[in-house]
Amino acid sequence: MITYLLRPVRQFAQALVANDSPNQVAWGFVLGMVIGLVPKGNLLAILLGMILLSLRVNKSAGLVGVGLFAFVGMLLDPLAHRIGTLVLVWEPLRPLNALLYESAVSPWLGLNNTVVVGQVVIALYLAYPAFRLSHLFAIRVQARVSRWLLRFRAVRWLRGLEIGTQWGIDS
Amino acid sequence: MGDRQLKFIRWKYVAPRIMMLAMLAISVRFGCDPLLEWAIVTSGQSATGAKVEIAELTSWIRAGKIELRDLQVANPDAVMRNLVQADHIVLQLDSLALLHNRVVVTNGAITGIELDTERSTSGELVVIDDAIDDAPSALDPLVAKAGDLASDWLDEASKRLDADLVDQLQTPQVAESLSEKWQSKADALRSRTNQLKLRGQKLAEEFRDIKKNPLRGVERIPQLQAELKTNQMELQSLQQEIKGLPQQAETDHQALLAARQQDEAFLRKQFEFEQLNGDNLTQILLGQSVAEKLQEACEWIAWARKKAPGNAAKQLASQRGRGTMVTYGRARPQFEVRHLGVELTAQIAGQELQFVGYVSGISSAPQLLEEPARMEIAALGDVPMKLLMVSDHRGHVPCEELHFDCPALPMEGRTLGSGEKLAVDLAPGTADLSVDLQLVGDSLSGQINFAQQDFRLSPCSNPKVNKHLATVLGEALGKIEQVTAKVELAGTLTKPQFKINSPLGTQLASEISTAVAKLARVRGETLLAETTSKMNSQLEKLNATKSALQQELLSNLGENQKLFEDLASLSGTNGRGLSVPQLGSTLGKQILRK
Repeated sequence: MITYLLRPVRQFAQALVANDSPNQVAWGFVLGMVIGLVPKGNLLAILLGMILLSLRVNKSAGLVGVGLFAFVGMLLDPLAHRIGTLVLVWEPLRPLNALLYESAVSPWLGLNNTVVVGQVVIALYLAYPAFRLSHLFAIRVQARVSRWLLRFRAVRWLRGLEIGTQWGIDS
Repeated sequence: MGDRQLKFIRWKYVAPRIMMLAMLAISVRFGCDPLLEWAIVTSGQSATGAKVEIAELTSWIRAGKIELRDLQVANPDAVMRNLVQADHIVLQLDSLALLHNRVVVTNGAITGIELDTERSTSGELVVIDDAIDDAPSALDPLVAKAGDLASDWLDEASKRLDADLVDQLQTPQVAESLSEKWQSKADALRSRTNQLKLRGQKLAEEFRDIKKNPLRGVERIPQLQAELKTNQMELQSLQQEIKGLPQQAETDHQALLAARQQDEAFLRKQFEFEQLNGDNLTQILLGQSVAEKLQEACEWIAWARKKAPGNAAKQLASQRGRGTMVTYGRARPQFEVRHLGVELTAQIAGQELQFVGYVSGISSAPQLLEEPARMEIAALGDVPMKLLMVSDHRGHVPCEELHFDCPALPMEGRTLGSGEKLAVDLAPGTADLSVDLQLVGDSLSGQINFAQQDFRLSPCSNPKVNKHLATVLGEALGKIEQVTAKVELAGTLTKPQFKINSPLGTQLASEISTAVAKLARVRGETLLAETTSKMNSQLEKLNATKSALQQELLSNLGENQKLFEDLASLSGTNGRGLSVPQLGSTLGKQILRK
């Protein structure tokens, strides 16, 4: 029961001090950024969330990305709307958009929404820089942060608890 | 190699989700039918306010097909009857449209539709929101007013024909008073004659006494002389009156004739009727059924409009959120029925008729469609019948059109008019009926043409109506063998108005007025004949009474006259009076010899 209640805290501690590679951290952050930017009332946001959770990427980095870019995304809505409008009404893309719309793919994924499309474009545009920066951050900062955190008994206890839980030892 | 490629996936997270999705898919597959049934029943009950039942519902999700069996929609106004029931319904849905959250019936068929059938269980819902509106329709006052005017005319005619007019006639009253007058006159004359006779006998007696002893009675002689003179004058007066009896009888005869003339004038006025208004009669006969049907049609249209989708602007506004949804191609309504074949059975005038047709263009957003909603139904078999309904809600002003055409519509026998007032029974037959109705916004227009050749009318039995009048009405109605009517529709959906143009009322009014006038004339003539007969009888009696009285009185007076003449001769016509010697010699003759 206590294990269950402490699970979020355990996962957070595990994420911070996990032995994930910089690539995993960078991918996690990029996915989180995309999720944060995209409006949430559609299947695309759910799919991206499931991808983040399904892939072996750093979840804490992803959550940080979501939290950070959810606010940024709202600020970027006007720009995203304009970009999305341009994309959706662009003549060369119209047949593809119409096909996606008629086949009900885009309405379910929200890809006929100007802001969703605009945010996806922005996310794609920012993906590579975000990856590089988060990768660099992981290389230079994560090891130090991990070492610093492991100095705290609570963090060690939480990490041990997480490992124990993964091994099937329930308290 | 494969394991290495899929190592980046967290199977511990993914596997349970895949299992959950599989379970969800299985639940949807097996829970879809009950869910759909619940949705149809709930929405149907909310729309009708009565029970909606489905015996069986089967769906094929991938094919987008739904099949329903034994659908029953109860009648909210009659709990043990169905508004409509259908044996089999097949709906082909557009699967792709379903992914767009739209329900589009591309094709379908409803077979075995029956209207107004019996139910084995009550169709009443436990919760009834709306109170039943029992208020009179907008047309009721118009029909009632026309009905009152026509029935008042007949009531008045019946009352006048039923009235005992003998009491109001002058002739019998005058004859009665003359009879009494002659009786009293005869009694008075007889009495006077008798008294005169008695007085004459008394005078003779006194003269006889004087004769026996003239000296003692000498002082009585002047007095007797005076009495004799008075009696002679009375005799003369009586004779004058008896001579005047024929003249009096003639005066009374003239009075009787004058009374008869007055009676003639009175009866003529009493049985003079105004012409019955044909328009009012048309209203009373045809108005009620037209009003009922028109009101019913208007209520159905109003109900359908109430259930129709609301303003499109609201729907578009509700879609707006973060960003704008870009749609490709034309916007389509959330619910749409493109084509739905219908096959129904209905009872008309006791005949079971089969109809086939289709419904198209029904949608939740008519403004998005190119064509208006349309329903076209035609009868199979010997009765040619066509019904076309078009409902166009695409513009700002909703429009409805209804066209119905049937050259041989079976008509049930029915009662026209009000049973308490003027009502006639209409025999079953066939009619040519065509209806063209337009409703633009709230404004109603159109016309109904009705023609029935084998038209048979008979009056309803009403104890209040004079039996002779009822017979006359029957004869008048029997002369009408066909009816044509043209009904002009106007007004609004809530206050429809109509005007019936039909020769039926005018023809019937003319027949009834003529027949009633004839009946009144016969009744008047009968009364006059009875009066005249009574008058003649009274005159004869009067003449006989007069002659008998005259004879009787003259005979009596004749005796008195002889007596008085003898006594007068004694009293002295020379003016010197009666002397004792003369009395003695005279009394020896006849008068005083007793």
